[in-house]
Amino acid sequence: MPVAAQGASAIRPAAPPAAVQRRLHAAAPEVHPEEQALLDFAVAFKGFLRGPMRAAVLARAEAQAAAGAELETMVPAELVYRWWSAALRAQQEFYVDVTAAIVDRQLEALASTARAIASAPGPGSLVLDPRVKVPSYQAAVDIHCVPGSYFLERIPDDVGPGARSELGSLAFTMGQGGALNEDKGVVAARFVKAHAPDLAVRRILDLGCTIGMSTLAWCDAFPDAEVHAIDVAAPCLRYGHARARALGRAVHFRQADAEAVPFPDGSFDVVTSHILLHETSRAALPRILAECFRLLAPGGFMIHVEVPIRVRDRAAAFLAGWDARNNNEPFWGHLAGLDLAGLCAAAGFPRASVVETVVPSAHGKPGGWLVLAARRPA
Amino acid sequence: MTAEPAEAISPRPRAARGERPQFLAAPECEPLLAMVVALAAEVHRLEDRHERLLAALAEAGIALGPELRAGPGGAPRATALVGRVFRVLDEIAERALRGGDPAYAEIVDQLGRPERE
Ligand SMILES: C[S@@+](CC[C@H](N)C(=O)[O-])C[C@H]1O[C@@H](n2cnc3c(N)ncnc32)[C@H](O)[C@@H]1O
Repeated sequence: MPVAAQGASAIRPAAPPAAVQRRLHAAAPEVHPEEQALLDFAVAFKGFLRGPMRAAVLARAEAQAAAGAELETMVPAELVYRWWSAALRAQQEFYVDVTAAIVDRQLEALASTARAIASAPGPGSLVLDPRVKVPSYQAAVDIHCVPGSYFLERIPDDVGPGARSELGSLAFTMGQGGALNEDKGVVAARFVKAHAPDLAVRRILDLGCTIGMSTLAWCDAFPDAEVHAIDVAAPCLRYGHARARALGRAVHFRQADAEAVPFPDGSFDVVTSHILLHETSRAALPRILAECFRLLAPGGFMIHVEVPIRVRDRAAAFLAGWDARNNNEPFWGHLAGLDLAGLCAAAGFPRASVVETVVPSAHGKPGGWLVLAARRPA
Repeated sequence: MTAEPAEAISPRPRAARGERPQFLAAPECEPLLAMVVALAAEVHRLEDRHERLLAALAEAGIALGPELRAGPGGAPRATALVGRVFRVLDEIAERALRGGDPAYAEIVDQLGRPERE
């Protein structure tokens, strides 16, 4: 035996090999320390781009706004904006690629783990419906510049996009969404408790749940309620189902379109969504709101949590719209210009019941969340 | 002996739909920037591995001189590395805030003149 190897054998690893690979829960991808280092780098780089560069871009945008300039043409002419944007786009592509590669090397294992969890007895359920079509506003866009988006399926029972979405969301939010990125659900459930304390919440529906990151917060806030969640993305739902079970929560996942939800009228006490609306379209939005109204029982509560789109200050709004313009979020800007309360009223909700407000994050995310809520008359 | 090749999984797509926006004047710049970002990440990965190796040696009771002891952990080290590699971007930011530098230009202009103002 070579000497070096003998010497090396004396060095005991601090932890058994299984513990070296970290994972969030039993259905999650393993993240090797070397991969974690790449993710740490991505987060550090994102933090760097939120520092002096962003401050300088904001200051230049404010100066341009004060001079009455057209921000959309004048700010992009500035060197600091161009470098900041180029670096942000590079950062975005980098962390998407790293998370995709982590998932890719264990794609088959993740699918088989999810399959095993789903076929064993456990809480919640999963109903997939291959007839459900991915709407064009999703299929044609690759939101957030993730190649293949939420829908890519390369092997039977693929869960890849779901697993990547979990790793990616945690890196994207830099931990400001909670350990399981549940912040939006926590905020929404709290809002319902505060604004409808009289409501007996027995059945909850989450629209556009992806892997159920926000959905699980509803399970915790209303432990006696039956929690349902729909999405059009089968790979995310498969992963979400296994994930919910691995984390010991009961969620009934179903592949369905929020524009035509396969549940009877009056089925739910709460219908909710978390950052779904800005990923839809001008034509889809009224249909989704009408479905919310139809699905609610008398006295039921609708609540949508959104990115804080109503930024009044022109310079800050310009910066907030960076993702919309440069990170494949094409409807975000349109949503910001809509009379959302008016659309809720048109869907059937009494105008006086509609609330649009910004609420703080439960985990310190700057800017908080926009809440759009309304209540069906009892 | 060759095993039956497993059915190959199609490679994952690398390019998101839609045109990639271009921010820097020359279209060649941004792919190079992407490479620099990836390389900087690789440096961090190696540094991290190195630190883990040192920590394992120390744990195994191998005496290391102070110059070899493991430094600060993952996240702060990544932040420090990013700060060094992308320092010039902070410089660009500082210049953008400062605007022009008339005092500097003025003194350069005056230095060669025989008379003082
Ligand atoms: C930003 S993600 C939602 C994140 C998730 N709610 C959370 O809080 O973690 C948007 C999701 O909406 C889904 N989606 C988009 N349009 C939809 C529709 N018409 N019906 C159902 N799901 C839809 C997408 O497939 C995607 O999973």
